[in-house]
Amino acid sequence: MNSPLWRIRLLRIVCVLILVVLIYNLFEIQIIEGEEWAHMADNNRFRHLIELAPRGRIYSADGVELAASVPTYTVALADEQNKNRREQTIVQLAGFLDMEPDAIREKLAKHQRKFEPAVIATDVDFETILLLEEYKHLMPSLVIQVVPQRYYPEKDLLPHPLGRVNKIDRRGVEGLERRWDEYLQGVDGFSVVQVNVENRPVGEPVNSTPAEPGHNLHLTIDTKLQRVAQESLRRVLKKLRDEGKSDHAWAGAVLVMDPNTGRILAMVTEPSFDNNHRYDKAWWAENIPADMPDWAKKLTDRTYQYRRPVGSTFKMVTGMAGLEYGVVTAREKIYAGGRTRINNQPVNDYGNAVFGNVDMRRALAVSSNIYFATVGSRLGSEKIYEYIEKFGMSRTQKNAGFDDIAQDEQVSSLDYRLGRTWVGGHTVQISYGQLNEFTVMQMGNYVSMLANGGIHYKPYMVEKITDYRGETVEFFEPVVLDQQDFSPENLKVIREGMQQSAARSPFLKGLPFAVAGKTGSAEHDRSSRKNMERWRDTHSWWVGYAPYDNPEIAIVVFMEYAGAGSRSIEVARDIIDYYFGLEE
Amino acid sequence: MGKKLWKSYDYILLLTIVAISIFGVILVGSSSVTGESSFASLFSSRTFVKQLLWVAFGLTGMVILSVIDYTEWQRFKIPLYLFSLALLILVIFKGSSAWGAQRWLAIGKFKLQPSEPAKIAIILTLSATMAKEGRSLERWKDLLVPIAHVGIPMIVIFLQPDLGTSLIFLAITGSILFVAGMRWLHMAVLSLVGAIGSVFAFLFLLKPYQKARLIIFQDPWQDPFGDGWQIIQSKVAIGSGQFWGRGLFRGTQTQLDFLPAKNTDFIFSVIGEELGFLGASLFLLVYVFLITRILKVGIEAKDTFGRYICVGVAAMFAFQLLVNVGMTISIMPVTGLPLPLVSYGGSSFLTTMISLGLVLSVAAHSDTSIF
Repeated sequence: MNSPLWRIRLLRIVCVLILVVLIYNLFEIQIIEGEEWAHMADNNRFRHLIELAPRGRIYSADGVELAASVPTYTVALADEQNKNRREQTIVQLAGFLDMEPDAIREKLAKHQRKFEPAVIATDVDFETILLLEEYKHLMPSLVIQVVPQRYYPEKDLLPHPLGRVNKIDRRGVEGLERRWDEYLQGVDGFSVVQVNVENRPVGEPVNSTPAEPGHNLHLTIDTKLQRVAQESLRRVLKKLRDEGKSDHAWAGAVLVMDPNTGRILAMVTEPSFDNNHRYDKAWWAENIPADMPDWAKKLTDRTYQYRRPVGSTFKMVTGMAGLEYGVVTAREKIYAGGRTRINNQPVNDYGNAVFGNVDMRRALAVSSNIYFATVGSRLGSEKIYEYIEKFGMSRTQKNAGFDDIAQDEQVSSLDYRLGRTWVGGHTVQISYGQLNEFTVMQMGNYVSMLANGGIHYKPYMVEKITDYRGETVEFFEPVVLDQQDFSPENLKVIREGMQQSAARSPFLKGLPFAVAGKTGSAEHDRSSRKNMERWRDTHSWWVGYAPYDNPEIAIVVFMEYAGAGSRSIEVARDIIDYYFGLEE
Repeated sequence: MGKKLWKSYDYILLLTIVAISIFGVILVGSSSVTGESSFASLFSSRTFVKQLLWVAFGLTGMVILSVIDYTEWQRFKIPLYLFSLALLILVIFKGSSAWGAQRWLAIGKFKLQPSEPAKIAIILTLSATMAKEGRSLERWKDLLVPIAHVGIPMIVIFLQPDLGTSLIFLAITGSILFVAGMRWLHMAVLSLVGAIGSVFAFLFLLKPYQKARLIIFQDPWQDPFGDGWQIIQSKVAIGSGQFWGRGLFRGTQTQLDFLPAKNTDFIFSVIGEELGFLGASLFLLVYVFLITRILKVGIEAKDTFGRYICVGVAAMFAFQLLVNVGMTISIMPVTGLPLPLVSYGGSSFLTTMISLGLVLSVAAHSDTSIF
């Protein structure tokens, strides 16, 4: 023993020093920085995947699926930090997708949210997806996402009200899709899957919330009635063009409502289009007649986004006001001599026809401008506007309260008084439906009120919202917005006048019940400086309800620049025939 | 083998060795089973089963070795030395390479890493040399023999190149010479020469990949997906263990393969991740206890040969602990040194068992009471 043992003891102290150094460093990493490292470990191993919620469907009252949700496929790449593997994946994927590798690199470079996969291609066809599934072991960061997209199985049925969904963010941006977006959207699910060092998912998702499909809308629209109305309108417009009666008869609208509830049974706008190709120029070029003028091709819904002068269909407003204010009685006869001047305004009946002494009923039946101009001049504009308001047609009563479809600024009627020095002649003109402009929706409510005795039901087309299990989430009962206490006697006079008017039409002969109605041939406001050729044709209107005794449906037919109002009755007849099962 | 052998046998040391070995084999299992593992699933891993066999085989060998009087080995000093040197030279010409270095000799199915048994050979032979009657370390020339003794195999290993193992030789030699009474002046001068030599070697002798690996630990983020990858993943693993750890078999870095060499060089990262600060500290405590216990055996040895063996083995353990654990927590360069008793690997485990068998033998034959 020639070496002192203290040297070994020193070595033991060195060992303890090593222990202290190591534990000190462990303490720093595990306790002080532990949380940061744990966060990094999670980033290492988790991939966030979003499961997109299928959009709620839209059904008609007769159970037809108007808007469906179909799966499309998106190819995406998850974050890949290994350069070699990333490059290899890019090159391979480029081959499968028939893309340039540089295009993929560019998309990856632009991608911001690293923990979510970067979208490389959308709407990838199913066969490519099958191939990719087969070879995805070569591309560990490949993510195939199912993206539910909108599809409209009924194509050109009801495209205007249904609206549109943005393909990218899948938000409703027009029509019902926009107004009810929060219900239709659903809640996206997500899952967090673990990936290993090769960026391959392993095991079951550690955390997942399944997507909840959006709610379904159930409309009051009857697809068969809608189809009948649409085809009839299209047929009549075409006939008018083909027969040379009106070169401009391209567009129009039909509204069918239940006057006892405000339910909208059909709302047609022509020209119609396949809603799956709403902005598809190629589709329009291929499917829309080449000679259709651009003004007609607008996507505007002519039932509620459009106002036009309504002509003689307005006369029931003046008539009701005159009777209710007692400025005229039902029996008083006013001489209609073809042409005259009232309040310094020249007034003439159609073709300067001399109707002689006419009372209210007869005046409605023959549509005498002179009669209603006289009543209007006795009333004065204030009282006429009061009755416009009572029938839900004023400027502030936008679309008579219809708000099932969103619009940035709801279209309202044109109040001709605004910004003008009012003269007596204006009062005369508005009495028989010139100057002011209304929407088809307002006219539908107006004729419904005449049919039901003065109840202003809110027009509506969404009746029910159900969730994906079919449970009802919301049910919409008819809403009474206003109720007028019109004198039943006065109302009866007006209705009888409408019944007599309808009875004169050859299109309404041979029905098992009487119908009430009124035509309108409205001139375009010619005070405008522009003077389009089509303005020489009047808008053809018909408003009415059936049956006369016990109204079940209220109908508005509007054919733009199609000439005399009587032409619209043909469309109304098709609707009545279908609705009451009267076709041969 | 008499009564007195069992009386002075160091059962505490034996128990510590067995405990660490079993702990090690479970961790090797945990890091070898793909995906989340459990005790039951360990046996599905070939690595685990192989290591289990090595442990059983090694422990048995160790106990057998411990009852043989260690002094017998002094006689085989020269053949042992020459044989291990021959193996080391052979590996340079016939060895299989891994990561750019010639380290393995294939003997049938078994892959031998000659630098592992060489460590034992050096401990034994240097101890024998230094324990010779009348050897002094007073003069400079007294250092020539031991330096040449260790220097030759060390240079051969350095040429493989295996920097880590050649540095173990330095630690072993330094510790034995220190305990043997080397003068402070000599130590200071040699340390200085060594330091200058290291700088020189770093600048001119090392291959670029070695250089890069040596310095990357200071800032692994310089090359997070290359040389820095291992260090970062190891730190992520250990750090995310926090105080309690993720739980045995539940470390995500380990089970999802983010951790490289997780059952060999980076086994300590698995401990850190799965058992947390608590488990890792306890493990280090037990491990350092093992080393100080070996040194205690050295203090109580009946002769200097036994003492030097214990010091050499303790130095080997201490150096590898510091370098291996230091590597996982990024305070030491990545050298590829395994953690003795714990890391997966047959030659490493067997070498360790032989060295511990020798220490146990020193303890068992240390009986100073004279009959």
